[in-house]
Amino acid sequence: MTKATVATCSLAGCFGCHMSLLDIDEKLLDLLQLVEFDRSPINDIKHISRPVDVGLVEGGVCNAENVHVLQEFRRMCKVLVAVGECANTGGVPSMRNGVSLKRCLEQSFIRGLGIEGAQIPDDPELPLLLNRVRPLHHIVKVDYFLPGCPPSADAFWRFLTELLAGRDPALPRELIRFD
Amino acid sequence: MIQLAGTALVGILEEALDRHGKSPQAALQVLMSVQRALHHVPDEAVEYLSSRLSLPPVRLRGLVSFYSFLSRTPQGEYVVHLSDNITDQMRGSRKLGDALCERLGVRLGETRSDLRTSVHRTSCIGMADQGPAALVNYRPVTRLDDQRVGLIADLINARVRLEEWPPEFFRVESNIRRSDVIFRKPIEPGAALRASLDRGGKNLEAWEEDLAPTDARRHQLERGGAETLKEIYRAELRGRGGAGFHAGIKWQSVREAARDDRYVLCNADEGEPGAFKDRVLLTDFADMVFEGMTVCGHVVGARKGIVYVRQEYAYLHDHLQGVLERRRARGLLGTNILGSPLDFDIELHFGAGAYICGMETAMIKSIEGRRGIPRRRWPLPVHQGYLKAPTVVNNVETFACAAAISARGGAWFAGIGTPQSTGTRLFCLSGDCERPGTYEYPMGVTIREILRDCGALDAQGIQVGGPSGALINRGDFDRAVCFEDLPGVGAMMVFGPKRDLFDAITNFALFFQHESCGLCTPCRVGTTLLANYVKKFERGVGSPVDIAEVKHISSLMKNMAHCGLGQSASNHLMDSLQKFPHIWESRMKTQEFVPAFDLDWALEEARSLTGRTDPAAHLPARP
Ligand SMILES: Cc1cc2nc3c(=O)[nH]c(=O)nc-3n(C[C@H](O)[C@H](O)[C@H](O)COP(=O)(O)O)c2cc1C
Ligand code: SF4
Ligand code: SF4
Repeated sequence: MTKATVATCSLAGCFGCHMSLLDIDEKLLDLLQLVEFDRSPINDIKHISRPVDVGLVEGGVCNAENVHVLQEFRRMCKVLVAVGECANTGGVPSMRNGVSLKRCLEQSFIRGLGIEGAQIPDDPELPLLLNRVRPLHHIVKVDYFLPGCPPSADAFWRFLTELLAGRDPALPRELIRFD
Repeated sequence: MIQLAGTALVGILEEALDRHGKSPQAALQVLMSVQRALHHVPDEAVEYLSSRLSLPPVRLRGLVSFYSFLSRTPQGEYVVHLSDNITDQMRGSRKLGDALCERLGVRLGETRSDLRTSVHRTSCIGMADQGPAALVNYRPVTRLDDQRVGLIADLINARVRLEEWPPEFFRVESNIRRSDVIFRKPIEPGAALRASLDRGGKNLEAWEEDLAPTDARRHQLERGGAETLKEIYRAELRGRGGAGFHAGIKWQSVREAARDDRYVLCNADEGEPGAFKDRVLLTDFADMVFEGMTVCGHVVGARKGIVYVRQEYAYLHDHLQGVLERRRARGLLGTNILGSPLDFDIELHFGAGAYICGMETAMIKSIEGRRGIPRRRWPLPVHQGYLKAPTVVNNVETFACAAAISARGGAWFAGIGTPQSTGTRLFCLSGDCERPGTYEYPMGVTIREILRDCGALDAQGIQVGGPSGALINRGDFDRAVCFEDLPGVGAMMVFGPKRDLFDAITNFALFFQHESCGLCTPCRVGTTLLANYVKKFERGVGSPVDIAEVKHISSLMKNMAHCGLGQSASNHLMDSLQKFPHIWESRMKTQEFVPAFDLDWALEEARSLTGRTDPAAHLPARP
């Protein structure tokens, strides 16, 4: 049996979702029987090398680089999954959406305490920030939304195994209730 | 700034309290009076009224923020609300509104710095047959055109009192173009009540001879009510307010309720855009409506009725009070009605701008002086309604029909219309038709017949029953309007062959977004998402991916929304996708998903903050 290919990345996220994926513990070995990882922080591959079956994207879209990465994922992944609250809704980083980018940057780099040589960074190496933090589906078509902050290890496991078995990966209630 | 000396403010507030009373139920009425007098509800007024009404300030502030005609910040001395229904827009209301703003020197939605005037848009004000229309200080001004708008601006600029404006500005026509067996010859005031009382077994002269309410007479009263209920059943009268529930079943539940305090509420909120028949009924057939309520009071054993009238119709206040007074003077309301032991009286209660208050449990809350937010469905109002007492809620037209049934018999009524939809129905024709207005037809009339009579056979489509109803195309014109086929309130907005129906669905989507009460997520969020998708197509960046999303959201709302508003808020979109797919397809410039906004624009602010112009400081529109 040929293994399914999976790519993952974290955009404006905290890597908590990736940690939760690793949290499937010994099932990780079972998972590796099923899939092969392409680009992922787990193996430090920087670009997707070939079309893959499943893309798991953690985090929202806060800057130009996030947009490029997300577009690459959309181009290369047959199935694209928004993983976790940040990817689904913008999450914690999108709390800045209530404040203008100007105020946000000025507070951080000009008016903040103990700042020397106050200046908003303009190095071309740095990706420019979008005026608002966006969930993935504002930028590209998303096929599945995996909720949770982070989604539990069981949710990852269940979702991936069902999807790879060609079944509808709808999660049972106990995996998507958080109270 | 109007500087209010404390004592002047107190005077105004006390006057409002005198007029409406100091019960918690009076809160909304008091605040609306304050709004009219001061052009806003200042925080000091909230503080003061909170102690006088014994309600926490937050409760009053909650009302001010909920109802669209109440405002916390000062509005102009002349507040203009431009009716923004699609029928107004089709007659150029947007341009007229812009012209008005320009001549007044004020921006839409804002107040002029000298506090002279503010101009807003509002949902349909119930004048779709004589638009474009507007409210000026809550009084309707109809048939706006360039000239009228110019004059209005001059009058406001010159600070002429509304009483001195040309009276024809405020003329509201009933435009009854066709009447049938119920409204052609309305019943004489008192005829329905007399018939209802007489069913108890004694004729009226006997009732009037001796006023002492003996047990025997109470028994007769009781029997009369029971017999009239049978007539309502025999008539198979179904509600005219939307859901088409059998009035007899409702009335019987309240009649059999274990409590003695019972209420009869008449729903005159008529918020459905394109509807105006209840306005016509309250204007020309108020006696019949009040009589139907009184007959209902007789049947269910209620002593009090309340008519909930939308603020847009508050100009009818004096007229309606006059009719009520006359009825009291003639012994048709009050104690010992027509000499019988029947006591019943009717109060008017006015809304403050909220479509959702037409939904019955929201209406009940509004009458109780609360925010008009639907409550859970059970217990039903017939078991626990107004002030938790058993309550009948019926539409204006339903009560008028009930009066006719009591006077002329259930069998007569049942003989009109179709087997499951008895009687006649009032239709409100507006939009692209030669003779807009109110038409009465027996139930079961075909769309084609209505279109022929109003001069609109060339129509490409009709929104039947308002935005929450159904959008139909020419293939549906032979369908019958009745509960068996095409149900819904009788509002029909006609779209002629040259109209772009996308304008209509855009208008409706924005309407629902604005009017969602916000209680439940499927509707609060769903209506906004749907409006955003419609705007996305308008900008030419919609794709099949988005259509699939619109359908998905719609089905979520239909299944998960708490009340009828959310459940029906996407009907017009689903219908248009099915019946007028070309209006979507012609806007679909791409098969691939494209963001609703321009990605490069989203970097503009960062570019200007950093001064960067390098290639990496831009994003291509497409990858
Ligand atoms: C959002 C919404 C708005 C409504 N607006 C009205 C209205 O303006 N007038 C009305 O009579 N019924 C309206 N209804 C229906 C009422 O809830 C209720 O069913 C009706 O008043 C009962 O009277 P009927 O049986 O005589 O029709 C509305 C319902 C919903 C869900
Ligand atoms: S969803 Fe939660 S865990 Fe995942 S990236 Fe966002 S904040 Fe971190
Ligand atoms: S469906 Fe809409 S209007 Fe009805 S309760 Fe929910 S939010 Fe309010």
